[in-house]
Amino acid sequence: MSAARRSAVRGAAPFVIGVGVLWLALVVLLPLGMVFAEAFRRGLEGFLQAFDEPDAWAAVRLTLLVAAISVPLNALFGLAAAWCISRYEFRGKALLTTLIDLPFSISPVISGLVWVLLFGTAGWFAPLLDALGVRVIFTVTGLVLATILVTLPFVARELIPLMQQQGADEELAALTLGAGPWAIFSKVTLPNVRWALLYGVLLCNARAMGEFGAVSVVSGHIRGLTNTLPLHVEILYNEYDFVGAFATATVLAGLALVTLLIKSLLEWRFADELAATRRH
Amino acid sequence: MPLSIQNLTKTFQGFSALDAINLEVGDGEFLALLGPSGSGKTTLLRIMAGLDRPDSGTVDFDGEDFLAQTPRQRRVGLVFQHYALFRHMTVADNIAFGLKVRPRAQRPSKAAVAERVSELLRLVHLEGLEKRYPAQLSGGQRQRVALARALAIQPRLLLLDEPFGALDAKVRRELRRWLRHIHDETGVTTVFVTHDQEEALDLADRVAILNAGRIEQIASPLDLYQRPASAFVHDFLGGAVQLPGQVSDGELIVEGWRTRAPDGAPTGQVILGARGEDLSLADEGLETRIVSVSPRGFRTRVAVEIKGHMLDLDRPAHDPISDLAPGRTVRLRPDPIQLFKA
Amino acid sequence: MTRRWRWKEPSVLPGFGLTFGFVVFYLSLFVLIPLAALILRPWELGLGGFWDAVTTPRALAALRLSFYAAGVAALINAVMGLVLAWALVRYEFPGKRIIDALVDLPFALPTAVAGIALTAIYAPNGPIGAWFDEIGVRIAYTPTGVLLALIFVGLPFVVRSVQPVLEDVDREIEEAAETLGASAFQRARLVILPAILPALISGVGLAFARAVGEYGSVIFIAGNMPLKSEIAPLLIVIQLEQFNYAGAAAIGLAMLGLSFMVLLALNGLQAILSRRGQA
Repeated sequence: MSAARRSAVRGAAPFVIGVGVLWLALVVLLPLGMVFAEAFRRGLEGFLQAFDEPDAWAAVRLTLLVAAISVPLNALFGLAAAWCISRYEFRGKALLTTLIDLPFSISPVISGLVWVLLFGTAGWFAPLLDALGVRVIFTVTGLVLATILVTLPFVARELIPLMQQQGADEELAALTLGAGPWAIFSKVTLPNVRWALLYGVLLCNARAMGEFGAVSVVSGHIRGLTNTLPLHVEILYNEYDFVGAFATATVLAGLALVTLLIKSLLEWRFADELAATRRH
Repeated sequence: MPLSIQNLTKTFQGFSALDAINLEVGDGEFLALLGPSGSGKTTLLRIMAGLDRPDSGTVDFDGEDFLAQTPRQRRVGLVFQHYALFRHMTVADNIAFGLKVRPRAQRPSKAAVAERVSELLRLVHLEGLEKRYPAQLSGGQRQRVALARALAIQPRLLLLDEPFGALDAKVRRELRRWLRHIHDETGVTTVFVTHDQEEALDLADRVAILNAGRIEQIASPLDLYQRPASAFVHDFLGGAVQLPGQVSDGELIVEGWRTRAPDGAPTGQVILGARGEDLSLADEGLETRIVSVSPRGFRTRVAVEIKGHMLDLDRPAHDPISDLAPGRTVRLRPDPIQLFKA
Repeated sequence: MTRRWRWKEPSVLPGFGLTFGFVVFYLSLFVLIPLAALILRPWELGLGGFWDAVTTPRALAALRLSFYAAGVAALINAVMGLVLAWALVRYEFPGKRIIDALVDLPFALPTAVAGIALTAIYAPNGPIGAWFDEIGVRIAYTPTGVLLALIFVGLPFVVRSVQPVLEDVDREIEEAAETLGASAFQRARLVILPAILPALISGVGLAFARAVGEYGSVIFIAGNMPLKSEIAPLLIVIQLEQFNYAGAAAIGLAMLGLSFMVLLALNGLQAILSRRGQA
């Protein structure tokens, strides 16, 4: 089918494509380019200087640590949620699905705020935490809690529609062939959703490493201790170390680009094995 | 009787899917569950497999209480309507699955599994395709993989849900013959579900006809054809004529035609049933107007009207009835006269 | 026959108890209990105190800016997102795959990075900002800057909502319209637009919800002048820094309530339109 035949408004093609692409370039590509341009404003040397301080590396390590805890937990949650929502009929399923999606429609700042309300100095559980001598806010624990809340839906949202669409017949077949629960999960379910799982983990990870608002509220911005990479960018920027801020930002932009690349590859190569809305 | 089902009842959200089902299946028997969609046949099959639980009743197999066993313990081979092949496994891995997931102590050696897989591939005529994935197979091939996979665990009972439902007519006829051949070869007790009466009559030793959650009749194909137990069975097996009538004092009155009722006929309100080929031209019989005659190769479709009832008769080509001109009014007499309680 | 009330249909598949239990536990821990705190804590101020907290001139200005800018950004994204989706679905052109992938960049790019990059572009000494500065227009550190940032974060939502539906619009219906003499513009307006309208609205709703709560990409470019360019999420952060938990929670709850009302209205509109589409 030729492009011209597919168009409803023939002759409009160059105009529509032109406007669309220009808009994308202006809104999306320009900021991306700006990150790299600013990072190298003082050449490679200025760029590398930003990584010559221990606080930057502490931020990298902390970002990796927070993602390494929250992403696997949310992946596990996504698998469990997809299994119980796609494989059983029960009342309240719609409510459960809504609750799983809820974090997407909450401001990141609120996702941080709620933890302060619970565990901050005037939080509900402050007396308990004081008695135990444990701190949550302004610690890694707080960062993890906030990150889990913000990224909670990602894996579940990829797996639920896919598993609903695949149906339970293969698992039932495995059951009649004598497979136990673990064999059903590891030999049938998991291989069937592996690419969608990877897809969800990828998006979850990108958000976990890049999250700013929620972690900003609970972090306390303690350099070298509770500063993740995005927070480090903010601190450098507010200290007018623009090259340093943008140099650090290139790491995060690189992460975003790698994420997009893998995501596109998955959509292209494993379209059938992703939820229907991801197949473009 | 290896499989014995007593008084089985199942409701879905207030709708009665199975209503007091009694069924016995003999050792090595090939039984068809035949009925229209929604008649409960698939539910019955799923209960045998252990995928659904009945509300009440018993299912025994070789004296064991099947309902107390999980699907795993039953060792029942089930072929799903859409095959449910494991999409991420090769044909060989699909077939070997049931052997590989056995508890370690009962698991056959790798060599034994490979041996069994190639034996089954030979049985289902899929040699050379063991490395393929389900997506690379035709519908008929998938069907055979599903059957081989079910047979691999040496099932005590083989269950098939609409085994040919998703296939086109030609493949369907081939596979039908071949399934019967496999059954005769393995001798495994087999129950299959179908809505296609031709398929059921062609394949099965006995056919159970289900309607609205009840078994209307269980009999051999010939008995079903010759002695349908109800108007439903008669209609479902291709009865063309069903006319309301009345029997009193040994006399039958149908749409103005009076004749002697056959021995043992029910009395009161009845339904007269006949197939197209049971009718012949006679001096006395049902007053019939020929509406149209359409030759279709070996057979001819004759549309007739009997006192306001429009009926299609399936007749051999060039017999006295199919040679009639449209518009003629004749008398047709059914033989045998089959009467059902209205 | 008595119909027993069942909350779960029986199933032979194992694992319901385990997975359901885990899901409910996890959701309680990470969503329900935290949200309960958000919903309950503002009332420590009492009803009047809650009302006072969300109706101070500063809070009202912040809420107004967040919702107003989010609304305008969502509408702009509706139009431009539709154009982009149309280009990606209906036409072939070189680099289409890359353009398609880049649509998701605002999802993937950390908001703080987007925020400092947008600021650098539109600040009075930035490449575009300097240009506007010459004609006396300021973008960064004004509500216009807020709007720009919200357009950036909302861009993927409309495109990704409309794209699959546009792909599915039945070509035969379009061709039928053509054989009936509909012009190209009429076909687009009468056949395609009604088909994609529900998806468009849901995309607008998603973009709006995201923009209302957006923080990272906005605070750098906004200038954060109280009453002028201060967004509601920032005001929450400021209240927290002053340990005014109840006040912060009050603004948070007001934001949540207001955006749910907007989303509910959009959902209703969408439901009406989809029902009409099925007739």
